[in-house]
Amino acid sequence: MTRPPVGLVLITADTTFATLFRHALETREDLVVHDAVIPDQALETVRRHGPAHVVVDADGQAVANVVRLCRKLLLVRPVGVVLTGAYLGLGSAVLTHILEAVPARSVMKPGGCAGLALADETTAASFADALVRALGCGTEAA
Amino acid sequence: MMHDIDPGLIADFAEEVIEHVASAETVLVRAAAEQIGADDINLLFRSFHSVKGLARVIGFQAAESLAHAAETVLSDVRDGRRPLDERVQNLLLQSLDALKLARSSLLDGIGYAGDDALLAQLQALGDPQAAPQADNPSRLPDHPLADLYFDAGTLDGLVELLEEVLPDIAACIARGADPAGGDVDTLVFALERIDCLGPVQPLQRLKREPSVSVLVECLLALSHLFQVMECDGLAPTLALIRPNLVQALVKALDQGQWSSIENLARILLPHSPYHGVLAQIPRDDCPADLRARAYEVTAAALRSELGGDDNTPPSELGGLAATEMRNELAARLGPPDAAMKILGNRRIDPHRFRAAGSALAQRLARLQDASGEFFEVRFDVPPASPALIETARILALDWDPLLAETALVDGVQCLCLLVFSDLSEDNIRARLDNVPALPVVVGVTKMNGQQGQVRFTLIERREGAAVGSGIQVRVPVALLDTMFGRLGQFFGVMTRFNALVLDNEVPAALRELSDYAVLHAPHLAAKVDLLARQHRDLSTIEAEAHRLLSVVHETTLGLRVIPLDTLFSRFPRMVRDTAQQTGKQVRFDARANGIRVDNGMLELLSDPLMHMLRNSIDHGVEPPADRAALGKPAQATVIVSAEQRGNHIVIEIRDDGRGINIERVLEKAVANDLVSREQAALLTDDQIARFIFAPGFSTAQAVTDTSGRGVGMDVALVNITKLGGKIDIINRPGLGCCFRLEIPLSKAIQSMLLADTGIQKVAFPDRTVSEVVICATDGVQLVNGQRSMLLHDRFLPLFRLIDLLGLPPGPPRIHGDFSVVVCEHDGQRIGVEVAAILRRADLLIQEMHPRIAHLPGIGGISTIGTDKIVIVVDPDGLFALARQAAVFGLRSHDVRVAEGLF
Repeated sequence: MTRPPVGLVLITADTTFATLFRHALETREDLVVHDAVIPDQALETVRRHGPAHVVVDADGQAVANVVRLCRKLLLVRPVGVVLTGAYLGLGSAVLTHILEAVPARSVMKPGGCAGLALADETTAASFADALVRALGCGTEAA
Repeated sequence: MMHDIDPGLIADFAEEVIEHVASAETVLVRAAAEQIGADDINLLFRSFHSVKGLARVIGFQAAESLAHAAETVLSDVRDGRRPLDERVQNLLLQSLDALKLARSSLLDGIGYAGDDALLAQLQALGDPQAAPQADNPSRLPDHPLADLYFDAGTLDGLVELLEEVLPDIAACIARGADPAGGDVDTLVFALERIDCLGPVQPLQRLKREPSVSVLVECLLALSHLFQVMECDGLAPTLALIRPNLVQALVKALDQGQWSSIENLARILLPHSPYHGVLAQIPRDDCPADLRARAYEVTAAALRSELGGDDNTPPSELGGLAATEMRNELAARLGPPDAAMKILGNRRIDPHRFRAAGSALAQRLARLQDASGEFFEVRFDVPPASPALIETARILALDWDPLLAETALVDGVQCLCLLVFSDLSEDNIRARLDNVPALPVVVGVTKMNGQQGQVRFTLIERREGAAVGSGIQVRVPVALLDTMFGRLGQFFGVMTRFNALVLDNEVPAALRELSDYAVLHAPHLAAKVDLLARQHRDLSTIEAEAHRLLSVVHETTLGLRVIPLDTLFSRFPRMVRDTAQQTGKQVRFDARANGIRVDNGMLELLSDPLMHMLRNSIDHGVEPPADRAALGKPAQATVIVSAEQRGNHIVIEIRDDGRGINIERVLEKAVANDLVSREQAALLTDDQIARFIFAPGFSTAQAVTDTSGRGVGMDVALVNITKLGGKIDIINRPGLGCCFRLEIPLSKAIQSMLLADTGIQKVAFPDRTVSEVVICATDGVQLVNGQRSMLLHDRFLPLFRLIDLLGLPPGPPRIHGDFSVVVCEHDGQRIGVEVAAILRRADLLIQEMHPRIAHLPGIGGISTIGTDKIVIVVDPDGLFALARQAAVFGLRSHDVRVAEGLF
């Protein structure tokens, strides 16, 4: 029996990344992107769709705003939060700061803030796999 | 306390306070009329904060306390805990007034005891317990928390409910029993009522799966709620169930259940620095050995931290270990230092790459051995277009950029790529242009350390940067005046220098000496040549010095003049206060239209304008109820505007109130023996209205704070007369009144377009010039007998400036083209033909000699350089001359000379 796809909402101010993100996940049967919206529309969209997970693009946003947005999202719906960004590599000070404040997982954008490399099928597939693993944050990683 | 303070510090305090007060006042007055944004609130906050700091430096405790109290109130406003309502605005404005008073007391050496009543009001307002429920939802944080955020009662209620219900639930779970469904439902109901659904789902799950892990999820969700509220409301409940949670965390640590550990650690050790590290180590790109070590270190740290209180900040050692762990994660996966150096050398911010992932780090590592340069390539890509994915695919595969970002460049959304290539800029562009599927390449920029509008260049190059750019210094006016005096002396010296160099007798004498030397004293020929050469060099140096002095002169002229806006910015607060005191509603608009005037003129204008504005509001504007009864909008409009007309600045103070009551003015004038009844019968309404300028004259029934004493309008007339100006009253009974001040432009500075007629330089006021065009001689056509040219598909009548102004003709044109200044005035356009267009300049308009002052078309004179007279064109007169010329033809220069005009 196949499991229903996991619903996602992407929150990003970058229209290029939104397009490429949708493109990267469009062939996945285990994931469905309900919507991709700018941060200002995040709460309303999450309330409307009630997704299981929210992917928050941290690029181009002040760290404090990212934290504030994540906290509010967690109040509106019981969602899992996944951060994505071009500079959220392991050990990044920004990533650490956000993760100290909110429970979340993170995946790197390939090829800069616009996620340009997501146009490449191979990169898109590995990004989607990494995203799925991050979404399954309830499972043990160790 | 302050007696020992350096007077310089006190002067600095006084200077800076007045600036901060002025900027804060402007924002607060605007806040009364419109909703101000976060930037403005931050500005207000910073202003009071700066004043506080300045006051502290000189030990001025009264001012410091006041500024601090105001800052506290603004802190609440900034954080959304309190709206910037009328009460807050009034208190803050009163604080500014008090700070002004404190400043002047300090300067006058009088003690300032402070304003205890005001301070108490501010402190009461800053007290969080006194924070009212906000009444303006649009200024509050996002729904749904907005209502709750300001509703301390609801929040208290929720805290009490949790304290009542959660310990029972936790106790049940600890015993392995099912929690009472009613308790959970009560919480769910309360959370749904406040539209915070985040904790609802885990709570409902708790009914189905009563376990510690689900309880922790519930607590975590609830803790977010209180974190957003910046409230410690969950703490009492957690204290009650802490032993159960500690036990669960120890068990999870023993069993290595990391997701449970993370959740429990967040609840029990909210300040632990390991939350950030814990969430990173499960990632795919974290090497296995590092992951194992990270878990080990974290587990040890958490066990150690558990020994403390739940709100104990992390130990310094624990924080250090977490930082080291984070750094090790970054170091193992980041690019090597050599690659960072390569990036830094090209002004590309290396820190941007430090956490950019291992794949990119490996690519950067290879740069050390590769030959090439970094380029930024920008494409014009329409957002979310279908072509975007194809574009991205080609670029990602063929060009493999190091980074790609979407950015707004000059208002257009672009895709910016950072590419490393051994090609040149032109070759990169050519190759990209040859790919048919790609959009337009907007730009290719080599990242070679040069300044430019490039996206990826972030590092400011310190070496060679202009030192002190953007820094401003204060210069006393007296010092400026001294400097102008010295500059004047320098002009005198230069004039003598110029006269020496241009003395025709010297070259003649040198020629004579040279001839004599050749014929009679060959041994002196070389020395005579040396003298001749030195004389030529001296001429060159004089010309250069002359040019530089002209530049310095023009630059320094701008130092003395001040925008009229500076004066107009004082009025909004006064208008607001006067309107409040008199119970009127007034919309105030000030339009300085970029006019700048000499500082001395500005001070003389201040009082007249202030009095006339007060007069307009107090006497002219009707109360809102009266206005409504008259069918007028309740809010009156008062406008102060300035513009240049000819060689005058015209300032108008206009209102839409009731106008001047001529009968009452006349009655009062007769009663005050200003005029007899017989004489009064002969006066026009305009003449009667001017009685308001008589000293001591007032028609007000009662003396108020703002007017009615009969002092003010006479002061206005005196000051304007001092400036050589006049005041006209345009009275429209029932509809409003306008005071029109005309002040000679004798000292005003205007932006001008300089042109040359061939023998005389002329200046066109910038506001008159719409464009400048070059016209070919054969482009001139006769339309109804008028010389015209076709411009933008319309005929533009052409006039020679020398003909309009009656100036002597210049040398004949060598080539066929000529320059045309297209002037626009009162909706009409004419082309004014000149010999050459020179440049733009800010000129000081000077008084004209009485003989030329009455000539039409000439608005004033100015000078450029040391002695070059420039005629400033008066647009009114110029267009009148053009109309006259079009109808009657032009009088020749000879005729004007015959009429004694020259």
